[in-house]
Amino acid sequence: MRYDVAGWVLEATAAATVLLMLLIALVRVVTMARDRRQARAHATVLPLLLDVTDGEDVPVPRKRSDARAMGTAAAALVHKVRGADREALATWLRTHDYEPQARRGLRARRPSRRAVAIELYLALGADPAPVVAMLRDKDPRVRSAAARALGEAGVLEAVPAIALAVGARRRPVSRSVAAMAIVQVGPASADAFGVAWASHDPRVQRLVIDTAGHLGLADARDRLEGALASCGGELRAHAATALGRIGSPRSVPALRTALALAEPASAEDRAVRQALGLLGEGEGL
Amino acid sequence: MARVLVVEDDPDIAALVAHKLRSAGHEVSVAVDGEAGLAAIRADRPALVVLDWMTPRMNGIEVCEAVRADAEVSDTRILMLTAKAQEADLERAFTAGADEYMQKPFSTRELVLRAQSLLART
Repeated sequence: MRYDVAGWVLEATAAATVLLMLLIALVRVVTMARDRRQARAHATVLPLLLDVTDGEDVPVPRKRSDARAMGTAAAALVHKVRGADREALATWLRTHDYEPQARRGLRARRPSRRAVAIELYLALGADPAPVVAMLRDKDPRVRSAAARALGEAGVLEAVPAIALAVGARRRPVSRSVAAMAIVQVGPASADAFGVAWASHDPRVQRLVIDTAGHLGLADARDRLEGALASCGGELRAHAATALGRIGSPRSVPALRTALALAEPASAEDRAVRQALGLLGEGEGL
Repeated sequence: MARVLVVEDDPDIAALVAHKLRSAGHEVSVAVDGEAGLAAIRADRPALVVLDWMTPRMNGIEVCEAVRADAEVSDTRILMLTAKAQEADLERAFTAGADEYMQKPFSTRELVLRAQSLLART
C-alpha cells in the first residue's frame, strides 16, 4: 500500500514535470514567433519612416498590424533623434490620428499595453502630465516605463516627480531607473529638482545628491555642502562624492570641516578624502 | 562621393544614418559591432567612420584606438556618436583619436554637415 502511494506520487510528479516543460516550450515558441512577427513588421515599416524624415507624405499602411508597428517604430525613433527629424515623425503621428490610440492605450487594462502606449503618447509631443501620473501606476513595469519614457523624451518638468517617485511608500520607482531617466533628461540646473531637494526621504535625498553630482551641476554646490553638514553619515559620503565630481575649489573648506568630523576610516571619511583629492587637495591627507 | 562606414548596434539609428548619408551621395556600409567594424575599416578603407561608443564585442573607444595604432588606416576620419554626455567622456573620445563627437539624440542634418566637413579635410 505504501509503495502504491509512493509510486503514484512519483508518477504524478513526473507527469507534472513533463507538463511544465511542455508549457515552458510552448511559451518560448509563442514568444519567439511573436518576436519574429514584430521584427518582420518593423523591417517593413522602417524604410517608410525614413521617408517620413525626408519630409515625404507617407500614408498609414493598410494592414492593421503594419499600421500598429509603424506607430510603435515611429515612437521609438522619435526620441533617438532631434530637430527636423523629431518634428517630422511627431507631426506624422499626429496627422495620422495616433493620438486617440495612444490615449486609449494609457487607460488599457493590460500593463504591457499601457507601457507601450506611454512611448507613443510622448512621441506625439502631447502634455506629459498623464505619463507623470503613471509614475504611481499599480504595475511596477508601467512605472518604470513611464520614468524611462519621460527621460528619453527629455521632459524637464517631470524631474521632481521622477525623483520623488523613488521615495513613494506604496508603488515606488526603482532608484536606478529614476537616476537613469533624470540623467537622460540632462537638466542644466539644480533647480530642475524643485521640491525634491526638500524631501526628508533618504532615498530621494540620495538620488538627488548622486544625480546632481553625476550631472556636474555647479549650482547644486550650496545644497550639497548643506547636506554635508546636516545629513546622516551615508548621505554625507554621497554629498562629498558629488562635490568632488562637480570639482569646485570653493567646496574645499566645507569638505575639510566634514573630514575633521568624520569617523576615521569610515565610508564618509574615504569619500571626503577622495573628493578633496579630486579638488587638488589630496596631498598630506 | 566618399566611402563611409557606420558602426552602430541600434538598427534604427544605423538605418537612419546610412539613409541620410546615402542621400548626401556617399557609399555607405554598416557594421553592427566593434570587431566587425574594425575588420571593415581594414578591408574597405572608408574615408569616414561614424562610430557608436557602446558597441558589442569591442567598444567604440577600443576601435578608435586600434585604428589610430594601425598605420595602414590611421588617417581614417572618425565621428563618434554616443549617448555619453559628460565632459570626461568627450575628453576620452578625443584622447582615443576621434575627430568629431556628437551626442544622442542627434540631428541627422547636423551629422551629415559634420561628416561633409570631416571629409573635406581628407
